Amino acid sequence: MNIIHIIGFILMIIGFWGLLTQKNMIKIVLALAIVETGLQLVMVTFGFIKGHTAPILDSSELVKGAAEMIVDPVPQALVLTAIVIGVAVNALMLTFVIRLYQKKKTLSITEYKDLKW
Amino acid sequence: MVNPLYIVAILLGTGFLLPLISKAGRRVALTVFFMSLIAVSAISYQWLWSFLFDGQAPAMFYTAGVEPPLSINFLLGFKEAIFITAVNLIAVVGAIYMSTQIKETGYKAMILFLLMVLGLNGLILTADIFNLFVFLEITSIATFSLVGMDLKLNSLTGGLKYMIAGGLASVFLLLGIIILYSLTGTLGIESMSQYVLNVDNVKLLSIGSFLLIFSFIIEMKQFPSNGWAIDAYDGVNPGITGLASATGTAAVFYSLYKIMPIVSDEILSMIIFIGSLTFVVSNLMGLMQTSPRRMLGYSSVAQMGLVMAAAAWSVFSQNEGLFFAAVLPLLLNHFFAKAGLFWITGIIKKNDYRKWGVIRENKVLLGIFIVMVLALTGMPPFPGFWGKWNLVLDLSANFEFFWIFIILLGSLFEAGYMLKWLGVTLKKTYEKDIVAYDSYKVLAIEIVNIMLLIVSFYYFFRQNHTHMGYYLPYTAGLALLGLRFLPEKIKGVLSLASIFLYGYLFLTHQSGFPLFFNAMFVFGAFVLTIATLNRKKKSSTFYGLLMLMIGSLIALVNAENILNFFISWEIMTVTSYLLIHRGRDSEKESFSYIMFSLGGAFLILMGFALAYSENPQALGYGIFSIANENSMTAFILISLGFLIKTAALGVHIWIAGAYSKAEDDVTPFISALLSKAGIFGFVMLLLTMGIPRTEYIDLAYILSWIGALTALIGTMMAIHEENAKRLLAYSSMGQVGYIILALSIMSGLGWTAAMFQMINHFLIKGVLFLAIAGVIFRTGTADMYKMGGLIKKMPWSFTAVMFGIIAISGVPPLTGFGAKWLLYEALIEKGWYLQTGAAFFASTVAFLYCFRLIHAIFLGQPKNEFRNVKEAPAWFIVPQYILIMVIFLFSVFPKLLIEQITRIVEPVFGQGVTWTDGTAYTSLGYWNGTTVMIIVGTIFVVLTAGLLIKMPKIQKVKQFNIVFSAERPETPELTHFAYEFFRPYRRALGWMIAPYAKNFWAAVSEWTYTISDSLRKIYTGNTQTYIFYILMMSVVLFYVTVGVK
Repeated sequence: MNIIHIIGFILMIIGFWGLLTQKNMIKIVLALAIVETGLQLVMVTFGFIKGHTAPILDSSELVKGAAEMIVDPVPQALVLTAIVIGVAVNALMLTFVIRLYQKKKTLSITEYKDLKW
Repeated sequence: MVNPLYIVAILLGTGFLLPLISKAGRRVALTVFFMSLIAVSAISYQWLWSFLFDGQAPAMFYTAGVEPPLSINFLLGFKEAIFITAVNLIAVVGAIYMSTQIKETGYKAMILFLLMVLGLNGLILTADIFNLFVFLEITSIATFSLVGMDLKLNSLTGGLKYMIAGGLASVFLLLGIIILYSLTGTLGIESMSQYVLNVDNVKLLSIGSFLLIFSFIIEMKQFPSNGWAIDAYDGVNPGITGLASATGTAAVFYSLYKIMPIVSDEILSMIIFIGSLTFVVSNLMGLMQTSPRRMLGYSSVAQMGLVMAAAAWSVFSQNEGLFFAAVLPLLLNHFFAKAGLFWITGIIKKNDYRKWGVIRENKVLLGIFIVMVLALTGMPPFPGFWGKWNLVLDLSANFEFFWIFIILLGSLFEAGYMLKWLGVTLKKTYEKDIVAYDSYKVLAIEIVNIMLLIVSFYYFFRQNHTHMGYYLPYTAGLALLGLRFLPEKIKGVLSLASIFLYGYLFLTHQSGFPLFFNAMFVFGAFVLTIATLNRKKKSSTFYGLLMLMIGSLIALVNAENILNFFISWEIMTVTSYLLIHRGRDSEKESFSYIMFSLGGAFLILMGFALAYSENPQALGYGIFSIANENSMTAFILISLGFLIKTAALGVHIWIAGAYSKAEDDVTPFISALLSKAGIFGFVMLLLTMGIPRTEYIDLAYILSWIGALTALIGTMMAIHEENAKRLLAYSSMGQVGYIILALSIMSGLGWTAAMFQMINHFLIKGVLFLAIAGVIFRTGTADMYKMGGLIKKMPWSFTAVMFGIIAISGVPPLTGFGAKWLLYEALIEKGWYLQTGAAFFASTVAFLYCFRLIHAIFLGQPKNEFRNVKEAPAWFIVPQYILIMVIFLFSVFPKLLIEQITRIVEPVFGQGVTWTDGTAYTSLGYWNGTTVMIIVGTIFVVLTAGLLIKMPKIQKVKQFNIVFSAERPETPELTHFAYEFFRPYRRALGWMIAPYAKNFWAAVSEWTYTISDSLRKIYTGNTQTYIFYILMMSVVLFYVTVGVK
């Protein structure tokens, strides 16, 4: 457990808090984005090994003893993918919010509960 | 074999090229779009084929020549092949369904559609856990972009809710993935399931697998974190909903199934628990729905819960076979039926199920609708039935009876709202409305329907435990449904011919009780079918249904194991429901009938499961003979099921409604024949199981009192009825009560009495219901106080009714006397004097209602409006007199019948009756039917002659009018002497027939609806409530499965 882990989890909790308390739909989407950011921090620290270098094999020294000298590249790859997908999902959600606003002229999520029970 | 990576390549490639291709015109783009979908289907189909027939081994595919985790890799085995074939097929069909829309929106919609299909295929094929996430997101983004193209408020709201929930699910998923990766160092699902065994940090491992599974629980829309999904099903364009509810859930389910081997048993148990809970609760909430789409939403969610729980159970119990036997049929049933029904809602577009009658204008769509609703309620031969059956038997073999109960309860709720929808749709008058039957949409739905039927038949043949001869009795019914365009008379004659043929085919090969029952069913069906030839109105399905019902009765008797027995029982239930439903204003009554019948069927299934648990692998009736600790419970459950069918006291409240609301020529079948199915069940149960008893409880004694009280109370209720058919219904209830009483004696004489009374009741109720049907046909009413004085207009019917009531009341010389005589002797021989008293009292009370039938209908003052009625048509009279001739034959020569009964009863209980010439001797007395007939005949002749000599002048009584001081009475029926004829008795003995049972069941239904209504209020429609549920559920489940310490 290191400091970045903790920051990540705190960010996630802030995001959850935002999801539950904010009525503005844009803020809700942003809260979800904050959760995702926290999550990405947590993810990337899982692959981090103290004292090791970036997994870019640009010297012969690194190529030889790669396993002992670099951090695990897989979580970094995963995080990159997750960021890209997250951005796409958030953008799509925001378009929905815009469309909804055009329909009802309000951003409050409590106004959109015609579908229920 | 084509590398499955081409699936990705084709879909992506076409997607990228479409903007260019669309320059050549929309039609070209659409063609390319469809061709790529078909190509992808062909690839998956080719794989499925080689797995099925060429013994193909599962294959692994890597991209870019690199090993995982640096590349995407696919695993394609038999299961994957099944899933991608199904998904790609629905994708093509869905594209056909939405083709108009897609064409209008242009290439953007096509690209999104292709991407969605790509994501679904990837979800199923991918062999590593991270790409699971990637493909899940591709599917979601593509699906929601498609949703967003439909710019309706509900569509957008539903979509946004879905996306927020999906976003939360991905957070849990990613967190789970990274934790598992850090512990095992791999992303490959198969290697991970190996490595997790060596992980030291068990705590972190369980957290990781919990998070992974929890995200799938959200994606699978489990209770209570599923409000957003139901809202989305409700609001989003039905074309996409149908696709998503079928393909999306199937793909997500399969990815969940893939990762199940990674997780621990505790987490698997959690999946089973959550899935079963969702199945029951969602179906319960479905009961209060009025919007068909929302109903389907609840049903979808429930079905996915069941499928998920069943899959987790198969992994938990390491029973790979169960996946194919139960999980797959359950899923495919949902897959095709749900897609089809959602798409139908896209055509009918009525937001209230009570307005769905308009679908009746399109016969094709109506037929598909009926098939799909029946499939969803789990009726044979649809895959859902096989899935549930196999699941129940497997659970039973593992002694998991609680889960069986849960599954059956959920199924009953589901049947509740689906059949309510079906019932109203088939009957209710509707506003004329122009519905656009887009031919593409109808075509798509038809394809799905055909697929559902193909899968049904595949499972039907796969499961078949017996020779095909067992299914022979259904052929006539199915053929008549196919020949529904023929004129009614021809179909009627064909029915008669096929019943005759059934008799020839089956009766010649059978012996013992099966022969006895089948002889009754075949003969009875033949005679009663004659009356249906009177039908004038054209009906496309009547004879098909009737013959299916008759066939199911014969098949029930032919059945040699519990599976065939149960299939016949279910088919009998459904066909009789649909027949009763045909009657006028019968929605409520037939609904009550089907719910009681299904409840009974599930009790029987539960009992079968209990009996089966001690001796798995065998389905023969032999399982009942093995005594074990569950025998008693099994016996109670199964007999409760049969008691419901025979309308025993306490579960009788459906009988009067169902009998009286059924069409007049259908009621004789139900009363005379169908009620005997329950008796047959009892006979088979008692023959194999006996009546279990313990030190404290003697079930035979309890059963005897149920029989006696049913006889007594049924009769008491009959005397107060004003409606002739209701009166006869309660009379039926009472008469069948005697049979149960006689069976419970378990002696040679007792069973002789039971069988004799059964034949007696069959003959009499045939006569009486037919006679009443004839009267109603002429007068148009079943209310007795509206009739009167019909004796001169309808002398033949009068005579038939008179013979009928003499026979039913148990006075000499007709068969009823023999039945009662045997019954009393058997009871006294057994030493059950109190039951004898009750039976005797009931049989005396029966005179009262018998008298009303004659008096109120045929005697007294003729009514003005019926002054010109004629005798009932010969179609009604002829079968009555055939039955009366049989009654006379057995009255004068009871030996003919009793000898046959003795032959089948003797091997079991020994001889109850011995014969010297024509005289029957029991341990207590003797009876000679011929002599009794001669004596009674002589008395009759002497008295008539005496009267004629004493009063040679016959004076005719003329009718006179009563004038009420020039006023019209407020309640004209009060002026009829016969109205509420036995009111004084009601005052004295009314407490006996106070509607205790009715109130009890009303309360049960009221409570169910109330609970359903308050439960569904948790889905407030507010997205933040849903987020709250998801987060809370994660905390609670985390605490339960992982723990805090």
